[in-house]
Amino acid sequence: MIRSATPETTARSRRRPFRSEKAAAAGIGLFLIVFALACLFPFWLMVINSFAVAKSLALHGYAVFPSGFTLQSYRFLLQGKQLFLSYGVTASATVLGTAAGLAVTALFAYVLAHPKNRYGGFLSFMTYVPMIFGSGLVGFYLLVVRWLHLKDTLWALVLPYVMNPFYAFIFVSFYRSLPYELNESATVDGANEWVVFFKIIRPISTPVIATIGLFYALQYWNDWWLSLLFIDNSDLYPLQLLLRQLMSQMDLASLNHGNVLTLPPSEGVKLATVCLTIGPIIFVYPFIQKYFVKGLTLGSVKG
Amino acid sequence: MNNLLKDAIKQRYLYSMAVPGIVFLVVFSYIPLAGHVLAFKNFQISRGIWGSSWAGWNNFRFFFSGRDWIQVTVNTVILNALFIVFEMAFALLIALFLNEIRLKWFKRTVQSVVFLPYFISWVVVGYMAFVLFNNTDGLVNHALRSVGLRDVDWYQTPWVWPFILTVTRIWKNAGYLSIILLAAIAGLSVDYYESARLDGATRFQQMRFITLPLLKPQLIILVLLGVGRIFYGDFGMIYGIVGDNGILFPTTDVIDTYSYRALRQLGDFSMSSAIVLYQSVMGLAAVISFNAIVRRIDKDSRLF
Amino acid sequence: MAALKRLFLAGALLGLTSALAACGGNNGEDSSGAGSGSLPPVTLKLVVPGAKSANFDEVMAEVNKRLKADLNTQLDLTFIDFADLNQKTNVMLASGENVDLIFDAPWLHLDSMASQGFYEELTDLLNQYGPNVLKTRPQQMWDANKIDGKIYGVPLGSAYTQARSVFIRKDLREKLGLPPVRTYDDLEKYLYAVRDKELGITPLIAGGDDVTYSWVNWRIRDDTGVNIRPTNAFGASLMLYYKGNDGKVYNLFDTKEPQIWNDILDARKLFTDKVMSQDVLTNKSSQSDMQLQNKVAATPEMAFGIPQAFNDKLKQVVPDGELEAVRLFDLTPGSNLSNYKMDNFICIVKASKHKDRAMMFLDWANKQENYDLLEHGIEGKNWKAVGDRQYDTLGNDGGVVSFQLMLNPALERDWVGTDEETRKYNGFIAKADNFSKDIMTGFTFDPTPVKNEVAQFSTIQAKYYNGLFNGALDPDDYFSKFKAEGEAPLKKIQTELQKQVDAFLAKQK
Repeated sequence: MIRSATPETTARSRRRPFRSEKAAAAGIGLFLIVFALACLFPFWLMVINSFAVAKSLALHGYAVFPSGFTLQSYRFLLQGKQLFLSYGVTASATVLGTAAGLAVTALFAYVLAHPKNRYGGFLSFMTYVPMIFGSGLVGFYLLVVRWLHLKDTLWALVLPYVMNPFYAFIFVSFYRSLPYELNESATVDGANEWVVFFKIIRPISTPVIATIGLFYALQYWNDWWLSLLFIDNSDLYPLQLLLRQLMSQMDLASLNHGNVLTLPPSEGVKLATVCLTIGPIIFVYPFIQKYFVKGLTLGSVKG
Repeated sequence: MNNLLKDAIKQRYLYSMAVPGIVFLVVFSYIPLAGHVLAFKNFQISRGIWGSSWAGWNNFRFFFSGRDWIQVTVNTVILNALFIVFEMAFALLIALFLNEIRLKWFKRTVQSVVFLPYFISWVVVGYMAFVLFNNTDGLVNHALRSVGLRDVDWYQTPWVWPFILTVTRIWKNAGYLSIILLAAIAGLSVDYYESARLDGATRFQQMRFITLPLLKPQLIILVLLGVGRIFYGDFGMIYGIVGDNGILFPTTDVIDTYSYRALRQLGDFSMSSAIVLYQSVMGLAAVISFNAIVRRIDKDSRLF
Repeated sequence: MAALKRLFLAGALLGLTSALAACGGNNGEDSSGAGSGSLPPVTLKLVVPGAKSANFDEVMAEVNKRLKADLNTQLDLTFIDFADLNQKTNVMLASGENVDLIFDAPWLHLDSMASQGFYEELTDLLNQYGPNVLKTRPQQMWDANKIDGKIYGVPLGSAYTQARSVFIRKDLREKLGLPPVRTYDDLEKYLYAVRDKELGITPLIAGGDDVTYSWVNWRIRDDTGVNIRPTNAFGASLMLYYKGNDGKVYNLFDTKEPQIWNDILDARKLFTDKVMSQDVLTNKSSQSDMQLQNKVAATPEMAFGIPQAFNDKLKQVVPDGELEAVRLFDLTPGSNLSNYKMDNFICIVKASKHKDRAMMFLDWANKQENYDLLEHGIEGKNWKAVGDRQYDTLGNDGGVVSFQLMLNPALERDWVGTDEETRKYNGFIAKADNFSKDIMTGFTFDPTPVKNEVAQFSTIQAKYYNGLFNGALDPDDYFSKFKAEGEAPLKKIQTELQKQVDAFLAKQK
């Protein structure tokens, strides 16, 4: 990252033959490899077994290499329009929510962190309190359904999560680590705070914006709670609600329907649903990583 | 008052930037907060929140008159403290170590892979834990046997579970947290490292004396945010992994699972609100004390 | 992954519910008389648990086509996942949303919702618009399912007790050279034989997380000698129980009831003998899954016969595998008690603007041809009739709803593949006259006066009950611990319950 921008210094440091440094490097590599494998393995089981034939799943459970390959589960899920509708709903909510959330929190946190803000402490405290006290659902439902009339609309899936205090505070911690001279010099030039923010602060905040953007996207993508409360119309079901329904049906395996016992959806279908649900979002992170390196360094701004 | 107004006018551009955030905060967080009054009501749906009669402290009685509330409160705090400390430590290690990796493809791959467990739901994690630790054909016991050791009845051995749970949490969340730290590292100035290198600092010394101190604001904020919720147990995790296995309750039962079991039959909303209020107030106290300590040590890292 | 259901239920508590100013106001009902020609068009909103079936759209199109012609009505059917049922219906009712018909049940919040005035009293509507609804349910069912003497929901059910048996492996039993299992002793012989000769398969697993399926509960239910049954003060727990028809509430801490205690000791023996799964308390897959994956040789199940799908799935794993049901249910008429209480109900919401039409719709759904459409789908495509009382499936697609809306003993068809023996049992429990009347019929416990004790005892019971009742905990040791912690709150609950029972019985006379 930072050092990759200066290859000659890297080369220089490499030439220094410290044995302990080499051992440390090996240790670091080993640690990361082991941890990464531990993270990858269960994930592999999940993905590969969504392609496994029913018999393999029944006989061996989650196998590292299942004995038969099939697309049956996926074919089952992709028939009909519900899955596509749900992708549309989830994607829309994610895009809208992430954009709105980033804009609102980035600005809000900038004010919280600003040294000229006399009420920063108070405002921070007031921002923090809802995190501890939760949203108090009783009033929450009334608010959204009766007062804002958002039931069965996409907005019900977006607006309640726009302002996330946790992410605001991460922004704050980042802004605080910026040297104050940056905006000092700009304000002396007569620029107002909006200009300072967009001209100076935003460009050097790329890594944290990418991070929080990712977190917002995850939050919207993974949410089922809002849709559970506020969506009845199945055309507006997001992915996570579909997933939940499927997962809970499987748990009610021996529910007595009249006098007929029914069987839950097959294991393969469950796994395939999990994979389809998380599929798109896990590819966002590798894409965002490039902003971690490209973030301008302070040095160049000051220069 | 005059000063207030003057300040507001002078800094109008600055304050105007916070307006959208404040609006969302008030509408979606503060208005619904009124629902907490339920804890002091004999809530009846047909009468509504305000129409229901006052209950005083009655809704708290079931929790505090039993003998288990101290145990579950202590469990909640201990488990959360373990989670906060070790998750942060591992997230930090991952971020620092990744920062030392020059092989781009390796770095990127590892960075993405350690994030994957975050997407696996607790239900699935619970299933995996069962595959590892069960008494019939558990993989861990298989391994123990193959090296000549005796089987362990994992699900009958309460003391090992705080460790297993902590390891699970590290596995699931450390990658996620490391993203914040990596982003912070990416924002650090190269100048610091340049001059350090000129002074002949080793890479380890740079890590220890430059990167780590510069990450302090992020670390402290993350810890502070965790402390506020230290009285909230991770319900999804505990229920997904431990379930209703009473043998493990002495070390794993947290406030949330306890009140869930107490009230699942009654479905009494006032009583469950009372417990949430208890957790909130305790959390608030914890975070205010912790913030005061931070403020004394390092004013810039405080939360408020 | 049985933990899932609980996770979701947890949401119900965390989520609480919404409260509102009393939502009331039934403004204007369509008072137009019957006769489809003169009816104004109405769309009814129906809310039931479940999920859309594969051919939902197709069947609903047909339903709405017929409804349009018959009643000038359209049906807007909303499914709510079982896991979310509690919180979602709570907020829906409380916020006075536009719902006409809603599912409720004693295990959900029927009693409290009815007593808080959310549901319409149905007697008049039934008499005026619901002849088929009335006709398809016997008098005992109507009498036993009132709340405070009033009808707040149409009872849905086709049997007066739950079907139940233990599914075992016929192929294994024959391989082991054992005769058909008729008694509990035979069953134990089978289980021990499996343990000794079939390595790699666990003989028995009961329900470690669901009290109803605990091994002791399962055995007690079929023990008509004593007629011990749970009071339902907290689920199916036997810590407080009724016995026979003496109108008394018994406390297991006091009585150490020999029948229950012996079953507990038996369960312990099964566990220490490694007949009962060593993972009975922690198992994450459903029992049925375990059995169909050839991991377990016996499980308690709520059915009298083996559903075709079960054998099909088992055969994928063990080609010559076959299940059979061990029924220990006593078929002597009158030996079993029933309170005729149905598990499920459909209610008309008081705030509905179309109560008359809602009842007309229910009546429509309780006619054979519409009942069949709703339950089995389109005739000739999804199913075909076999005689008057049976059906056969064509393909695996069913209808859209059944037990959530109209299930009744008169119109329910048997699947043609059901064997003679199973049909005998199913037929038996569908006849009210085969049961003796439980003295508690019509009684419901109001836990409000002792809710602190109920909450407390629930947490204490969670530590011990499933362990003791499935053999995983040593009764000599843990029963006394259980007693030491739980005796005081349980005593209070018992006293309150007995008080309410006495008051109820006094009123009956």
